[in-house]
Amino acid sequence: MKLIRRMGHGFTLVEMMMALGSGSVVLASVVIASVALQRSFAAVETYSITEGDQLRVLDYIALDCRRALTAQVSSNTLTLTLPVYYNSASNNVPNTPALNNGILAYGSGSVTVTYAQSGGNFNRQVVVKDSGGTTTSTKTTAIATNVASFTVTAIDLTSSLSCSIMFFPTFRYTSGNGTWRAGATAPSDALGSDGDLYVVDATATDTSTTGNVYRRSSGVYTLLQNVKATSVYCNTFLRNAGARQ
Amino acid sequence: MKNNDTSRQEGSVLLTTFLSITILTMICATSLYIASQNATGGAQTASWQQSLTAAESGVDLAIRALNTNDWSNWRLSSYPSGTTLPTNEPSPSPTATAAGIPDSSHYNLLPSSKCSMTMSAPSEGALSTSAWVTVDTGGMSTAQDTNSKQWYRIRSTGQASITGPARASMNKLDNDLRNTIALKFNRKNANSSTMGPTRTIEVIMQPIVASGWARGITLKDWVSMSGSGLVDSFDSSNPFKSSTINGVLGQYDVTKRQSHGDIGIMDSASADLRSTYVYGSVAYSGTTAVKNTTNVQGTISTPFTPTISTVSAPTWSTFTTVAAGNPVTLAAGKKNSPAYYKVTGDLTVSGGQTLAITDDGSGATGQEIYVWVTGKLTTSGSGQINQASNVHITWYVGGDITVSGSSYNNQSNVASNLTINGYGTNNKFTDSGSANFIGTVNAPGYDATISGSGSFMGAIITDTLTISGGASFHYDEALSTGASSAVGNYAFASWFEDNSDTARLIAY
Repeated sequence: MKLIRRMGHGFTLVEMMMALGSGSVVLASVVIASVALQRSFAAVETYSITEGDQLRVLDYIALDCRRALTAQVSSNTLTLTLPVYYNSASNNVPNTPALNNGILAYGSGSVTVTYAQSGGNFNRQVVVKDSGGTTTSTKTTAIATNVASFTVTAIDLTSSLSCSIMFFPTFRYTSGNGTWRAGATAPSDALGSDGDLYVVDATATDTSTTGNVYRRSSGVYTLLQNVKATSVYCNTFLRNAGARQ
Repeated sequence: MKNNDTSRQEGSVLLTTFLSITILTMICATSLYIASQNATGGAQTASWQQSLTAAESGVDLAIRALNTNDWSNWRLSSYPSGTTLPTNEPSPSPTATAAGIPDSSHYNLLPSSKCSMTMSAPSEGALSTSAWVTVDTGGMSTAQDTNSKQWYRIRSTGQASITGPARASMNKLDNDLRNTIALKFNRKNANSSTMGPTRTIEVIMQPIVASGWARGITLKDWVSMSGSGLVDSFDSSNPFKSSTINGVLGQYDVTKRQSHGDIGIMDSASADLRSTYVYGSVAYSGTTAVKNTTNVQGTISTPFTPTISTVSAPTWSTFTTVAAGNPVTLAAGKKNSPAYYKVTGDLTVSGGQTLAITDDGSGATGQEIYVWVTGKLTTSGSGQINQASNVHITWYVGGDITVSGSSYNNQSNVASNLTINGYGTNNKFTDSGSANFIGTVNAPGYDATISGSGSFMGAIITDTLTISGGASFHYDEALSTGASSAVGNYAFASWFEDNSDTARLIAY
């Protein structure tokens, strides 16, 4: 009975205040930690996706450059011609190499692979033509999205190319969720509308500004910060062009 | 009643705790899922690169076997059908050992057990890699080669062996590129007990015949360069490495410049490049390094110890005697019946004069002529030697060789059609003409000077070499081949990675 009576006394105001205060602190900590963890997870995930995109783009370009017969660069479009290695009439089994007076060739017709940016996509297009020049298949694949810019430079078309690809930053700015834009210089205030974001891409003449991110607010673009690690560069060796043939 | 109130309070604590644990568990699970996907993606990328390295190692072993004719560990096998290579590694491996290069009805196989590597420490990718390699003629015959030599096909499949459970990347694009639905999937050998990403490379190897002209500049002593010229290379036999200019095939084109303008120096004591651009490598012997090599684009290495054959005067017993001075015409003969001439004394083509090196009048291609000059060979002023485009000439000169003025007009524009052998010692070779000299000079006892505005296109072997003025040196890589020579080694003529997956209708 003594015990029951004591429990029935409830808490004092001081006890209640301390309990509520402690509880609030604990709950607030949990909420803050949860939000921070969520943000961290989101950042890691987008970083992982972007890194995967970068590796995929570089691996595709390197793969095709290594096996290309010729390369052309025009207006940041990379066009490669590949040997006609697969026999499309026979379940794409490899063609037998044909040697004629010292000139080596696979199959007949042509295979052209083109890399170019289209909006935010980075496309790889494969066009196969028969010996009469008729297109037998065209396949375009967006091998990366969220692309800000793609530049390709012919260091020496008989040996190597230099490529760079830049992705839009993937962070979520709390008060800016408008359209992403990119360019070689700081944005003009006349561009877009409030909330839009802008990044100085890999074509920047002043390379120190590459990665500068701006947000438009009240009709004016303001520099937010410089974002690193959104560009990848590669120099790719053209093996066939350097081969004895 | 008061007891009941107490129970409700305890229940709310339990619920709060339960919810908190649930939220934290979900956060942890999400974190682990993302981390797992990232790890899988990383492992896929890493092991995919490892399999390429393994495949390239297999190609390297095949090239080594071709170049050394050492086929240890290789097996000899017949084709499974026709001349089609197997798509999976033959198991068990053929028991017959390969004794040499394969003929047209067999292929040589290097089993994966003989080309494997295991990492001693854990890595992000696979712990072991291997490759199985085939070498065959690929249906190519010697009749299809310009030098009647055999070409070979190397096909190497590298594999990174993954341990543990099957894992799949979360990205279809990655799976399309790397052709691995899961890391345990082996698209090149579905029956294999060893799973993991595979990559296949097919390389066509071209025989490179041995030649004394494997290098642009070979010197028994030193080189001294100055002026605005440079040293580089081109290939007159390859339209990708030369151009058609004024209707003439195989011309040097600076936009197609190659980087095999190599220089070999046997005594570097006085060698000085004076920062001249050399698009090639420099090899030397001597106690001091070659000076001012800042603009050498290739490697600089030592030592350089080739064997340079001595050039001797001919020992012909049958020839046509030509009086010294300026003969007007020397006619060549057909390839199987060359024309031989001997000039006792100096041969001089001075201003206003022309020496015509013609064919026999038949217009047949590949005509041959040999001319032996016991004294000096000189062109000067507007004097000129005109060599017909269908004639191949070999000079033997015992005295100084001077090509100046309008110089020597090799109308074929092919360096291999003009060879000047200098067999004297302490003599000079001078090319100071305003026109290009297109040919080869083999004069190990001569001090050579290339100056003036014309360039030298071909290759040269002398004692010393001085290049000055605006003259440049363009090595013609086509000189490194020759039908009459033996195969020196093999170089790749084609490189292709087969990234297809027929099961998933993926080709290029």
